[in-house]
Amino acid sequence: MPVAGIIVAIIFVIRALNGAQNKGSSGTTPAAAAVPISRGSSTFWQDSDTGGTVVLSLILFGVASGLITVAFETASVVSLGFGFLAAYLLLPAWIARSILAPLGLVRLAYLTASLSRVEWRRDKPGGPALVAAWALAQQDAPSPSAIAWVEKKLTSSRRALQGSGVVAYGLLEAAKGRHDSARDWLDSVLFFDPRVAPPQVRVFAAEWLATDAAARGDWKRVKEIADSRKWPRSSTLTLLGALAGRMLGERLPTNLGLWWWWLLAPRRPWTWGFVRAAVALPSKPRAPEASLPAPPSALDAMGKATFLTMALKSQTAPNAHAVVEVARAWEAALNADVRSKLFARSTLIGGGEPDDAVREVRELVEQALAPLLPAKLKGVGELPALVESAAQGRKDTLYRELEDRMTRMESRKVEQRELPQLEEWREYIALRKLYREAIEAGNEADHSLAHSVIRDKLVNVAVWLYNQRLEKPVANAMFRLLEAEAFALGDSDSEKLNKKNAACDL
Amino acid sequence: MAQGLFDRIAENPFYVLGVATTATRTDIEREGSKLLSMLQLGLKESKVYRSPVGEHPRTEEAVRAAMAELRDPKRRLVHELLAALPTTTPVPDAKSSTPAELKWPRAPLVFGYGPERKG
Repeated sequence: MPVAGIIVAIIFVIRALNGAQNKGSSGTTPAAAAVPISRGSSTFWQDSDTGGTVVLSLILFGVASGLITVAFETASVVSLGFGFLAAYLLLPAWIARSILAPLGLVRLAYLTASLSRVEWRRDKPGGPALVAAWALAQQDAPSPSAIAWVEKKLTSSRRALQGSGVVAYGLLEAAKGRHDSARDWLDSVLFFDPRVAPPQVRVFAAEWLATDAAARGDWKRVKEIADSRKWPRSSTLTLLGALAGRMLGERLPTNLGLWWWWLLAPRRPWTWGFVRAAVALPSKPRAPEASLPAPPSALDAMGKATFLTMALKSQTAPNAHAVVEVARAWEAALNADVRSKLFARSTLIGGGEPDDAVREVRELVEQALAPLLPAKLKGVGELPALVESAAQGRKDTLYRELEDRMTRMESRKVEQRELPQLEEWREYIALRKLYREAIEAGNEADHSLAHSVIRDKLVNVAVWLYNQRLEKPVANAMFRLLEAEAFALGDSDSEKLNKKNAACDL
Repeated sequence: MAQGLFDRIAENPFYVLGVATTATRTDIEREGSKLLSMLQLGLKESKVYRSPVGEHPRTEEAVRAAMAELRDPKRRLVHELLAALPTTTPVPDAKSSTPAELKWPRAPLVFGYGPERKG
């Protein structure tokens, strides 16, 4: 009993000290340098509470090991109980992640992770909500009430939004079955400065995205995630990356290599079957799905164009090169020769308008190819006339939407109409997606045009978020985008301004 | 793929009637009448026609519509353009180039990131 009393007393003393240090700060992000960043960040040693945490951890370690030793020597259940309690208080984040979340104990995982003084110390409720959302992912059919419970914890936060909150929300979207939205949210964790989206946060997003891509058979995406230095390493990602290499027909890994990564990865009994099937696959390059088959040489130009059109139709996600190839085939088919041939045919069959026939087929082809045009048109060269108008129309729509969204965001800032922090991030994800699509749909000039839409207005929104909303990590993500874009386009004024803004504390 | 072009190719009157684009008007009328008789008699071989994208059901309405389309020289020219691919040329189905074994629908379940993906 005295031991328990000592532990409680220590907790109260440290809490009191912390309270004194944080005096004067509001419930939102404090303006001082010691801001609620994650303890997993690269600047954790700047945390003024590091000393207290180390002292408490040492005491709890001593108490836990001492009591558990005494319990085994004296067969005292009370000592064992208090020993485990001290161990629980010493390692709450580890217990939440490694024991409670895998068991699907959502609320207990959240409450335990909330006790963390190391891993999630300055990342609450985002960190615990992330662990709880991951616990939800262990359930076959997560209950709506549990999802709502975690979401409420997340949305009622008065602390600045960080990477953990975004990943937690992404996992909640997945639990609701909204996988497209989950992908956007989880991918967006990379927009944050790594100091507010540390590896233990990003790894959840990376592993979810990689397993999701593997489930869809998108091994290229799995490989991209596993190989990208933006995502953290993990044995799960390494195994998935190795499997992706095999699925894509790469020379490496060898069969031995695959089994080695399987051995190092978790959940071996459940992955064994798929790894064995992957090992049985030959290690040879496979034809990319998006490439079109060559039409038989015996066909005339019209036959080849029709053949390629049918082949394109059967593709699930045709790439820009394939669509352009088909358009070029039709351009070649509907040339002057076909008109001459049609004039001859019209004489034989006793009527008809060759020009009208060609025009009608052109319109049909335009209508067919327009929806198939992918967003990314960079690198395909000059577009054939058959798809150019569709591409221009899409580009115009994208710019209009980008401008509208940017203007709406700026109007909210002018009118001081605040959105809940997660909604604010949703707006930013949508804006960034539109911006990316707009620049991918055009050339360098279009890139500059898209940048001009967000260049000043987004800075204003970000400054508002930083100074008044104290959503510093979100504002920082905006400054970082603007800085990178200004650098890419050689806009030194904007680069300088946003570099300075991005360097402000988080 | 927008339905317009694809449907126009799959339901091309030349494929419905099973005649060449160079067929004369007489040939077309004769073949159409023959097919209508066969359909009325319920002969199996008349109930299906081939296009470059596979087999499709042939009905009396489709045969009559095809004959009517080809009687109009303006319409016939368009159909001639869209029937350039012989029905004997197989068009590869790219969807089948993604074998089921290349997907791992249990991956999220195995690594604790949600239930097995269906579909």
